Order: sequence, then C-alpha cells, then structure tokens
Amino acid sequence: MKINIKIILPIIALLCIILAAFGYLLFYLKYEEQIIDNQTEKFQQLNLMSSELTKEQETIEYNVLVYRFNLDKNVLSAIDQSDINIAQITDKIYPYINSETGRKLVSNYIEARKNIENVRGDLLKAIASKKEDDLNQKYAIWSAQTQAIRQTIIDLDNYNLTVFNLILNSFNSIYNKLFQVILILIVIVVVSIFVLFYYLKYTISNPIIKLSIFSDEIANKNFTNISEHINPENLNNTDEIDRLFQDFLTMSQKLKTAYDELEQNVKERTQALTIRTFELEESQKATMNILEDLNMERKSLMETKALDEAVLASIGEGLAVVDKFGAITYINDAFELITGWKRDEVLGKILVDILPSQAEDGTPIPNENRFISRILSGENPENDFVNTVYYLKKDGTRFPIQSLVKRITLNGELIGAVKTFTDATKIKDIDQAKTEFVSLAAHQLRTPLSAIGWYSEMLLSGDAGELNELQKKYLQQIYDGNARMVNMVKSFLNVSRIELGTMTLDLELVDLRKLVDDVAEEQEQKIEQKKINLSLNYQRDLPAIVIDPKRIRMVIENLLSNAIKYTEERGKVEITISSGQENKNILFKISDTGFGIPENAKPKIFGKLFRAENAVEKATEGTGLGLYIVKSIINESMGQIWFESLENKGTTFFVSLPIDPNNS
Amino acid sequence: MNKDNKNKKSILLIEDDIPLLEAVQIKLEKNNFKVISARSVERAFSSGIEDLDSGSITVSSIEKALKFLSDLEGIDAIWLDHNLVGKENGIDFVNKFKANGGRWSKVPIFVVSNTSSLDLRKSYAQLGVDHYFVKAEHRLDNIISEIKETLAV
Repeated sequence: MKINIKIILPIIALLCIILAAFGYLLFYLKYEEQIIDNQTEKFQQLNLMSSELTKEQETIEYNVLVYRFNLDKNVLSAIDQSDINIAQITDKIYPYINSETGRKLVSNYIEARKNIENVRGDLLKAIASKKEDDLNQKYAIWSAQTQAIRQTIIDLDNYNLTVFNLILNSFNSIYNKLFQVILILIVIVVVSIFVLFYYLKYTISNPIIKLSIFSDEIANKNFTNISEHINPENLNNTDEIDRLFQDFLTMSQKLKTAYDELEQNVKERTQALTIRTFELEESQKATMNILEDLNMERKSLMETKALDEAVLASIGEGLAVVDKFGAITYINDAFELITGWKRDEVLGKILVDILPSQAEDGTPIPNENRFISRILSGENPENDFVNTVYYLKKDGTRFPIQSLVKRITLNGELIGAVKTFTDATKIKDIDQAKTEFVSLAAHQLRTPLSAIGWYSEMLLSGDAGELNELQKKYLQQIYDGNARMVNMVKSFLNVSRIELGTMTLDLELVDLRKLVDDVAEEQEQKIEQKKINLSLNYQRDLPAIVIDPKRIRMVIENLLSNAIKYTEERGKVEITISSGQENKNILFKISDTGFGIPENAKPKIFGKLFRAENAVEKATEGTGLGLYIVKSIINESMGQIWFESLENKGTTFFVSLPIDPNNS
Repeated sequence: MNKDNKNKKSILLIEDDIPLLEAVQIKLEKNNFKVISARSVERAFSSGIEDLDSGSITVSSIEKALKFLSDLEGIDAIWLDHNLVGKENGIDFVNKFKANGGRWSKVPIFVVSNTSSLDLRKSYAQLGVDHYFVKAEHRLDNIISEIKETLAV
C-alpha cells in the first residue's frame, strides 16, 4: 500500500514535537531528582544529629543529677564519654550546613557547649565539695546553661525544617513543571489535530467530496459539469488523488459514451419490446383460445375414455393390453373372470408368463413362439386356424381359447398390442358335436351316393341296354354331379378328422415324383378339357421322402386341381420338385397363370370354408375346404406352405417338407 | 351252365344296403362271377342258401353256409361291407371266418366301406385284409377289375 506523503509529514512533525517535550521533561526530572536526593539526605542527617545531640544532652543531665545525689565517680567518665560523642556529632554536622544561618546556629551551639562544660566543671566541683549554697548557685547556673544548649538544638531542628521546606518546594516545582509540559503538549496535540484535520480536509476529503458530487452528477447523467470543473492539464500524474480524478474523468467519458449507446439501445429495445408485447398479447389470446379448445377436446376425450373403459369392461371376451415388452397395462373384467387372476396381481407382469399356453396334447408352447410374442417382435405371423391352443388359468386348469391379437402402433411405431380371447370350451364342445355329426352324416351320405354312382355307372356302361346319346349325356351329368358330391363328403370328413384330431399319419418312404405323376394322370381329363399346358420339372437325383403318401397325395390333388380350376383355358401350370438346403427338405412348387388371389383374401386363404370372391365368381364348384385341409396336413407333416400371388397374373404355392420328419 | 358254374369264380357278397347289394351283384355276375350274398354276418353264416335268382345263393345257417362253402370247394373271394345289419360288422366277420381252422385263410377279402378312416384300414390290414375301397370313391369297374387281377381271372 502506498501512503500519501501529505498525511505522513504532519504526523511525523507532531510526533517529533511530542518526543522533544517528553525529552525535556525527563531531563528536568533527573535534575530535580538529584536536588531532592541531596536535600533529603541533609535533612535526614541533620535530623539524626539533632536527635543524637538531644539524647547525649539528656544523658549528661541525668548523669550530673546522679552524681549530685550519690557522688559516684564512675558517672563522671560517662559524662566525659558523652562529651566526646557530642564533639564527634558536631564534627559531622559541618558538611551538611552550607548556609550562613546554619553555620551561625552550629557555632552558637558549640559556643554554648563550651560555656556549659565550664559551668558543669564548677558544678561537679561544688558537688564534690558538698557546699550546699555554692552547689545550689552552681546548679542554677548549669541549669540555665543547659536551657541555652537545648535552645540551640531546637534552633538547629528549626533550621532543618527549612531544609524540609526546600524539598517540598522542589516537589512543588516538579509538579508545576509537569503540569506545564502536559498542558503545552495538549495544546500542541489539539492544535496539530486541527491543523491536520483541515490539511486533510483540503488535500483528500475535499477532492473526494468533489468526486462524490461529480458521481452524483454522473448518476444524474450530467456529464458536462465534470469537464468544466476538472482541467486534465492541472492534474499531477504522481498524485493519487489526481490520478483518481484522471481515472474518474476517463471513466466518466467512457460512461458517457456507454450511456449514450445504452440510451440508443434502450430506445431501440423499447420499440422492439412494444412490438413484442403486442405480439405476445396476440399469441396469448390465441393460446387462450387453444386452451379452451384443448379443454373441450380433453373433456370429450375423457368422455370417450370413460365410454371405452365401460365398453372394454363390459365385453364378454377377456381383454389384455400389453406394452411393447409384453407387460400387461390393462385387463378387463372378463379377463379376471375367465383366468381367475385379479387385476392387481397381473398389472406390469408379462402376459405370456401369466397365461401359459399349451397345445392340444398338453405340450407347453414356448413363450417366444406365442402369437403375441411374435407380433411384438415385429413378425407378421399367420393365424393358425387348425390347432386348438389352451391357456392355463391361475389354478392350473386349462381351457381352449379363441383369440385375436392386434398391434397398437403410434406414428408407425409398434408400442404394444391388444389381445382378446374367449374361453372356447363350449364352442369347442359344440364344434366337436358338430364335427361328429358331420362325420356321421357324411358316412351316411356315402351309401346313397354310392348307389347313384354305381347305378349311373352301370347304365352308362350299357348294363341295362344301350342308351341314346341324349340319355348318355344326361346320365353323365348325374354321374359327374354325384362324383362332386362324393368329393365334398370326402372333404368334410377330412375336416372332421382334422378337427377331431383323428387324422394320423402313416409314414412311408415315398418317391414324391411318382406321387405327382399319379395325381397328374388322374386329373388328365380335366387338364385336357381346359387345354392346360402342364409341365413337370423334377430334380434328377431327388431323394425319397418320408411322408404319409395318402395325405400328401391329397395335398397335391388339391393344389393341382385348384391350379387347373382357377386358370383360364390354355393357361400354364408348372410343377417343380427340388431338394432344399443340405438335403433336409424337399421343395414342391406349383405355379399357374390363373386368376390369382386378391390382396384382401390372402390372409384368410387357408381358413376353413373360405373362398375368395373371384374364385366364387369364376368357378362355382368348391367347398372352401381344400387349402384348409392342405395346410393342416402340411402342418401335421412338419412342413411349411406359403404362396405368392398377383391377381390376374397367377399364383405359386410352395410346399416344403422335411425329408425325414423323425430327424428334423 | 354247370360247366359255366365250374369255371366261374364264386364271391361271397356281404352288403347291408339292398340297392347296393343288387348293383354289385349284377355287376359281378356280368363279370362272370358266381355271387353268394348276405346282409349280415349272422346271415352270412346261418341263413342257409336260398336262390335269389338264377346265379345267386343266400346263406341261411352257418353249418349250411360252411357246408355250402365246402361243397363249392371254397369260395374264391369275399366282397365285404364294413357296416352291416345287426350288431356285428365286417371285422367280426373276418375274425369268425379266419377262425374256422384257417381253412379259408387264403381267400382274398375285398372290403368296400363307407369309412375311409385309417384306423379301420389298419385293423383290416392286421387281419390280413389288404384290399380296401371307400365305397363312393371307386367305380364298380375299378373294384371288380382289381378283384379279377387278384384272382388272376
């Protein structure tokens, strides 16, 4: 920190004055102390001597009295000793007596002493002579002399008192001096403080006050006053205050510039703000409108939601909504009723864990193969119309289900799925009864159908005599109609078998080419009638395959007769058989140039009793059971079937069968 | 006629539906078979032999039937419907027929049935019956030509 010289100098001066005053005081005190010491010693010595003199005088007077009454000569030597003592004391007094008065007093004493010694000698002689008159006379003289001696001693004591007064005077003068010095110091300090105060006021405080006034001016945005009052040329660069002024000036100038800019900015901003405020008000109005709309929308949404929930709760089918991970987010009342699970127990759990699934024969269906799992993993699985699926309830009992899964997508992204299902026990029982009935009915139908068939066969072959052409033609119609009926019955029975689960496979090692050849030969008549160009392409080294020949034959019959039936005259049908990858499968492919399967019919084409619209239109004959049976047989044979089709271009069915289902 | 009869192969025809029975019989006879017919297993064995018309014989009792059959020095083939009049069906017939000392074990049996079930086919196959036809699905011609083929007529 740099200290201003203007402040330091006066303080140093003041300190010097104070030090000098104290120095003087100390010298003075030392001097006075010596005087006081001398006087004090003198006073003490004189005091001591005068008291000793008094004591010796008293001793002498006592001894004289003693001698007067008992005349003991020993006392005389004691009086002599006292005289010697007094002489010694008197010798010591001289150095302490330095005034004329003092010396006079001492010489008076010594004079008196000489007188009394003579008087005492006379007295002692008188005592020794025992002359009473003389003795009284002498004693009176001696007493008077003794009185005189005592008076001189008292005078000495009085003189000593003047010495004591001198000491007191010295002390007094010291106090006076001290008081004077302190007074002077106080005056100096007070004056100095005043001087310093005014000095500082003019050198520091005033500029600061000035600065403060200027800063007020700046605060009031009055920049002109400053430059009028401060002339930069008068400012000294080494002086802190001046530098402060300089800085202040620079700062005020900069501030002015900044302020001007700010003012400009504020003007611009204020303008912009006004516009913005207006816009905001407008958009606020718009927002309020939107909010109002939103509220109305929300209300109607709530209503819809309440309605939806009521609908969902009231439907008889079990319903579960799952998120994209398959965790349950909603179940309805029917779900609880059918499965025995309570809503609280299943929310957040994985649906496929809550409802384990089984096939007809009791084998568990792995979760990843479950329809809903496949839907959620992004697959597009086909509905399985053939196999009955069972769910396990909470208590472990199982029930057949019919179910439907729908994906939930948001902006094209899969976010979950809805599953609805019904307990199909009753349906299945009814279905079973129906199937059994159909089976029985179909069997019963075969007898009259056989009668019609065989009798018309006999008539046609002339067993009852020759028929004319017209009769033959009509009879042929009866025969063909009957044959179609027989086929229908056959299909019904096959479906019954599939659904009753009584369709068993009789596996044999078969050459598929032979089977296809046989079927093609069987249908040769139809092929020729429609002038279909049938081509058969077989891989040369095709391995034999383990299949149920009768069932697979049914598959080929169906596919080939479909291809013929649904292809225009002179169309093309092509069958290709080849072995698949690693010789594990055989791929059977049959393509036609027929009517094709319409897009909307594709998902249902393997369904029971389903016929596409164009198929119904183009060919009246057909049960809608063929592909259902085909699909069932292929499933049963552990194979796969799929197709590609374009309307009015043609259809290709692909069948892949394991070469040995026991090893695949 | 005797000479004819001697050359003719004889078939025991067991079929419960009369119109069908007649049709088969006519057709078989047209194809030079001697036909012995019955509508039930019981009748096939017990009802004796009655003339239906010139070439047909009905068996009325089992002794008679067996006697008749033995008189004919065995029949050449049997046309057997599965569903028959009465409690017993084709399987029962085959069992009884084959149980008879194995005497006729080599007589070929042709089952012509309404039922196309695989299980039934297997049951017959286990009893040694290999020829199985689903009634309405086969022409008489076809069945008869297979019989002829089997008998090497």
